[in-house]
Amino acid sequence: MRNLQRGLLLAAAGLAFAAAAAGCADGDPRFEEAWSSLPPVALDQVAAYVERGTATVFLLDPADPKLRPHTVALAKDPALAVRRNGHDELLVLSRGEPGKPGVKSEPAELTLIPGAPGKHDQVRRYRLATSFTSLVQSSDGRFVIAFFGPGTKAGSGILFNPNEIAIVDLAASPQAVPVARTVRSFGGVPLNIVFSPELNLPEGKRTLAVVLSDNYVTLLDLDNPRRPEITVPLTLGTDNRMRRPVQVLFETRDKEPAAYVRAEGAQDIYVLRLSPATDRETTTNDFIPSLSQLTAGAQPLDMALIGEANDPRLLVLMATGDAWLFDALTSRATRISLAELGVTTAEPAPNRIYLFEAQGPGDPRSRPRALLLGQGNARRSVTFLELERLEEQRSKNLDLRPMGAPAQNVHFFPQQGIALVQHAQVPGGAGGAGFSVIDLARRTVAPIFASVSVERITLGTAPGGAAMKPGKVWIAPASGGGELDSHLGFLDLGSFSPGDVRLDARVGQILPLGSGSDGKRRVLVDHGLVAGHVTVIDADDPKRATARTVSGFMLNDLLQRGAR
Amino acid sequence: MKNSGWTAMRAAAFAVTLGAAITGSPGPARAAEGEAAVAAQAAPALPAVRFTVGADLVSFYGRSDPMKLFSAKGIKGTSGVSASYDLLHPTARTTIAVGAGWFGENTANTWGATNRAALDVDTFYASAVARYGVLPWLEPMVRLTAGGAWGRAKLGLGQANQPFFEGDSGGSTDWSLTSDRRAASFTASAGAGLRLRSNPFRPSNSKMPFLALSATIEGGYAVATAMSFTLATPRPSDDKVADDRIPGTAIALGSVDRSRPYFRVGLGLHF
Repeated sequence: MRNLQRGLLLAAAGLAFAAAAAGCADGDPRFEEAWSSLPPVALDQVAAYVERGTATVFLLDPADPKLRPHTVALAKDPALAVRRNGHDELLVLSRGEPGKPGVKSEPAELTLIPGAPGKHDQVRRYRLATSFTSLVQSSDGRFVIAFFGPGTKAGSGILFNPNEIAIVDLAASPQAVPVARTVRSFGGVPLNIVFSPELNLPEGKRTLAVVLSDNYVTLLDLDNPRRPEITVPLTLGTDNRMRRPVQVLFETRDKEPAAYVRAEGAQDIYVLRLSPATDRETTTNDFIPSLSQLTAGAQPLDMALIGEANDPRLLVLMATGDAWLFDALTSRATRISLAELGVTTAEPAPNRIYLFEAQGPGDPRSRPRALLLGQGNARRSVTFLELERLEEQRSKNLDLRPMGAPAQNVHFFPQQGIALVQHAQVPGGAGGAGFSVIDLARRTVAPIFASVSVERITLGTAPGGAAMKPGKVWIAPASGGGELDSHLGFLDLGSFSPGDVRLDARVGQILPLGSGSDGKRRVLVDHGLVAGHVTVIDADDPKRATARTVSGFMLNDLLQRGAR
Repeated sequence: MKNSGWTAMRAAAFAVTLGAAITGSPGPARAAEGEAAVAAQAAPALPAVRFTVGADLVSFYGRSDPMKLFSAKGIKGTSGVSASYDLLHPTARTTIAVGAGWFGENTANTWGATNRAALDVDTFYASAVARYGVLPWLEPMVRLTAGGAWGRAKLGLGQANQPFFEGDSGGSTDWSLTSDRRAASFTASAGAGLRLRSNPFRPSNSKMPFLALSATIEGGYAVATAMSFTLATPRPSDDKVADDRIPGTAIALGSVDRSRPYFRVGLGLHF
């Protein structure tokens, strides 16, 4: 009997211990981190979603009947996801994990993920020594520079150097190590970085990066990233005025190419002509910039390079409302007065130049032309400018068209021969908002009224095949439009015929995709909710009846996904 | 209030009766010492109470990694009911009983900082129990069960834990995603424990059958095949809205393994 009692006591003690041990909470990182996604990215056939809490990319292929995404693990704290220029690849910048009790540190990483279904796992990873916050890439997607974007308040450690950058050549071997370096500073930090096209430099064609900082710019030879940078001040040392570079254009002459820099606060255009370096003992760079200035006596608002590559002209819009044409080599300036067209002085100046090649009214030849618009100001007219023989013809090359309302935003689709101007207020519009569709060849300005404010306009992918069609633009209404929040608008660029599809949830991001594995083109509408919520629509025949949705697709296989 | 008072009275009566049984008063058990005495006092002297109905509290210990989505802690208590019938007495001290039972398991958790997850599982089982009467009131026992479990997972997503679609809140659509059909799993368990049983007694109303009360404690291990969940947005309660909805694709959340040790406490009424 005593043995029995002892046994019972031991059993009870054992059970109590087991209960206490099992009752302790031991969490799983998969289920502890808050979920939040970066804005989705449209690749050719898939939409890429980056979930930050679990550091996972979800590649959703709408041609998959089950809509089950492929997942790729990222380094921790992904901060930025973009499509690689000129490639069907996703670029993700992850800041890594500095480490904390119980959590291992993890370096920052640049991850390159192929977008083609079946190739998603051919991931390339580039370790970064620093947790950068921003990413820029060359137009061909070969070079990527990671840096601390403007407004970065803190790095991952105690200190961070805002002038540190890392250069990655994605055309080099996958084992290539990013080149980390610090850009020389005169008290400023990088505001932006722009890339040149391939320039004819003395040692051959190469790409330069221009780092823009307040009062100076820095040139980097990306093919020789370990060569010293060249810093060009935009002001004299004794000049305290602020010159903030905001636009850079590159002239691609066969010899001595140049960069044109427009800066806020300056009435000049800065020309950096890249001449062969004569004294290679003092510099390892094969070129040296010489600085000159093009002066027009007013704040330049926008500029564009026109003409032949070896005989270019610089077209500049000034705050006075005039356009100036500069001969890049001789600095000879020609004034084209917009006032001569009868534009009243009360009308603000155009501040955007859009270049295109198209036929004109009564002119069957496709010629270089420009559309001049006032974006974000009260200008209510658009101006067409013939670019051929401009120095001789001057204002005779101008053609003015009235527009119903000021341009809030401009969406320029030169391939389709269309500019879509977004208006906040349209006289006579049902909801106040609307568009003007500008036919670049016919020079017509057709109003389209919108019942709600428009949040976003996205150009659809062009239908393939020999019979190129103009395609569609997709329009997301701004929230606050009531039931219309969940309507996806579209405008056929061929017929200018508008339409919309009623969906079951608010329209967020619009992701037009190319032809899928089944040959169909689709548009994914993201509804902006945790864990992914999209509606898939046939891009060629957008209808509610053929749409389908998937809610929470990031949760597929969640229970079996390995904890990290 | 009336019901709860009545329940309390019944609980008190059970405790008194069981206590009296265990301490040996009334009844002949106190005088029984040794196998001969037990045999002499067994079945012939007492009326048979072969049927048992009971209420069970079952605690499960530990959880697989996938279960961490639904449960913040590794211990989970459930409740259920069971019934059994003493089928055989192969020896004077041994009883073989067969039975059936049900228990329901509801777990809920917060995950991803703001999201909710819940898992509701109903388990139905058949059981076979072998008891050995060490003393008239004390019976070590082993129990085997086999059955099926049907589970339903629910997820609430986002800051507001709201349904995906506007106008869907309330009623059956208070979750963002729910199982579109119940997930099934085969279960089995093996355990050992003790049963403490009062002597049969007849309540004051002599027309009533003889009754007995018991308490059971049991520890063991339950195995279960993985339970896989597919989730979809809940169907709106308004048929017009539901029929108008754009067709949705269900997601495969994955599966949970629910094999784990358990501890069971049962209270039984015998007749």
